[in-house]
Amino acid sequence: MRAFKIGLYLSAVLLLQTVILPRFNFLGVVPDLVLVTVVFYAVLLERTPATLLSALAGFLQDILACPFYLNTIIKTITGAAANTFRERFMGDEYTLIAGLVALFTPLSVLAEGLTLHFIFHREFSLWYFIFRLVAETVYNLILVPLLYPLVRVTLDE
Amino acid sequence: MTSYRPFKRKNSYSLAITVVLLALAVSYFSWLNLAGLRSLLTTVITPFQLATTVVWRGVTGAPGFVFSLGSQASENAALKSENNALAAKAATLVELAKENERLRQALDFRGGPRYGGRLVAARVIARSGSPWLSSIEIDKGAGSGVKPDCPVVVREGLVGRVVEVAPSSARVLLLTDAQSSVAGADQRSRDFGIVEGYSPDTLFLRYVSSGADVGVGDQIVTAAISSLFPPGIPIGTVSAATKAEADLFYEIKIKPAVNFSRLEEVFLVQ
Repeated sequence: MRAFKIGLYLSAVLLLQTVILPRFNFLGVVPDLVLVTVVFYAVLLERTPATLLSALAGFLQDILACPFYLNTIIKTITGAAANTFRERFMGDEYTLIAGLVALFTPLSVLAEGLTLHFIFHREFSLWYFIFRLVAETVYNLILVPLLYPLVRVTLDE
Repeated sequence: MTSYRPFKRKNSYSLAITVVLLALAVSYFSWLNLAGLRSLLTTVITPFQLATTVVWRGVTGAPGFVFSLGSQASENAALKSENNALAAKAATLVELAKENERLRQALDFRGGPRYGGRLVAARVIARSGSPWLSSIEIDKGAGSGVKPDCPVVVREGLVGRVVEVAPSSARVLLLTDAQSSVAGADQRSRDFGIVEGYSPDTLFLRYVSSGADVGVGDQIVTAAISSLFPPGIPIGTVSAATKAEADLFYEIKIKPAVNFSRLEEVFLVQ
């Protein structure tokens, strides 16, 4: 039942991310619902299921909306790294999740930007890059309290 | 809220490292289709994306629907679709007329219908989340005769080209993507160059020699030298054209004719 609920939630997140959220873009920036979800599960699950879910979420995001497997890599690393923080953190999980979202959102934007620039030779303005770092982090932080109860429900047996 | 205390456990990153290496290998060696797995998954997911799109349109269109009869709404949708197809053809009439005039003057008429007469409508069912990856997913694929490099247009102008085809869906690389390049020409002076994507609302026309005649406000259309796109499809309007004295080429900025953030329905030129 728990696996089914997580699967259902993940499917809804992926459809929202690729179909509906792009319609709410602000100067091209949309929240990364998948990244926030990956951080949630990295904090709330053990390492193996958390890593597997992160990899699966990133892979499906790539299948749906990216011509290569950049999200698979970013989300897998985020899941594993966030899980490591969780093992060393003392305090309530909500603070940890918000902190990790604030940390990993700019890092993932940075990783995406650097990969696209240096490997795929894409150009973009530095100001837009900085704007996206800030805007996407704010967007994702807004999502944390909205998603928290939903993710908690998916983890109930 | 649950509190955690630090605890020791054997850290194993082998799973994460394996996944990352696999993803890198698959991307690097261009096994992007993963022996059909990507196409298969896309085929499975497409109906859900389509359903979500339809539901979303229903939700956002609900207030207007309340004030109209059901039959009127469906008739309106059909007429709107037909109107879009006709408008896409009509958008090139100016270019056709100019070309016709030129060709008549040259007494060497070889022209033909701009889109070869066949436009296939497709719905946008997904978009890349990142502003740096400008692509969309449409609900027509190999089953509808879509092939890679197929031009995609709307009534305002050129949208992009198909880069990946699954049985029931296809991925379209938008004109605004940095990987996109299209041969474009100034509709007035006929000087041509390569239109490259830059950002969601900016394109650049490159390699136009400094001796060319390109000015702000000029319309840029697909050039006849393009092997992929029919000539004369509107691309955008020149918003800035500068050149330093020593430069060999113009620096030409274009405002796209199409609003890429509002694409709902597109047409494939087949």
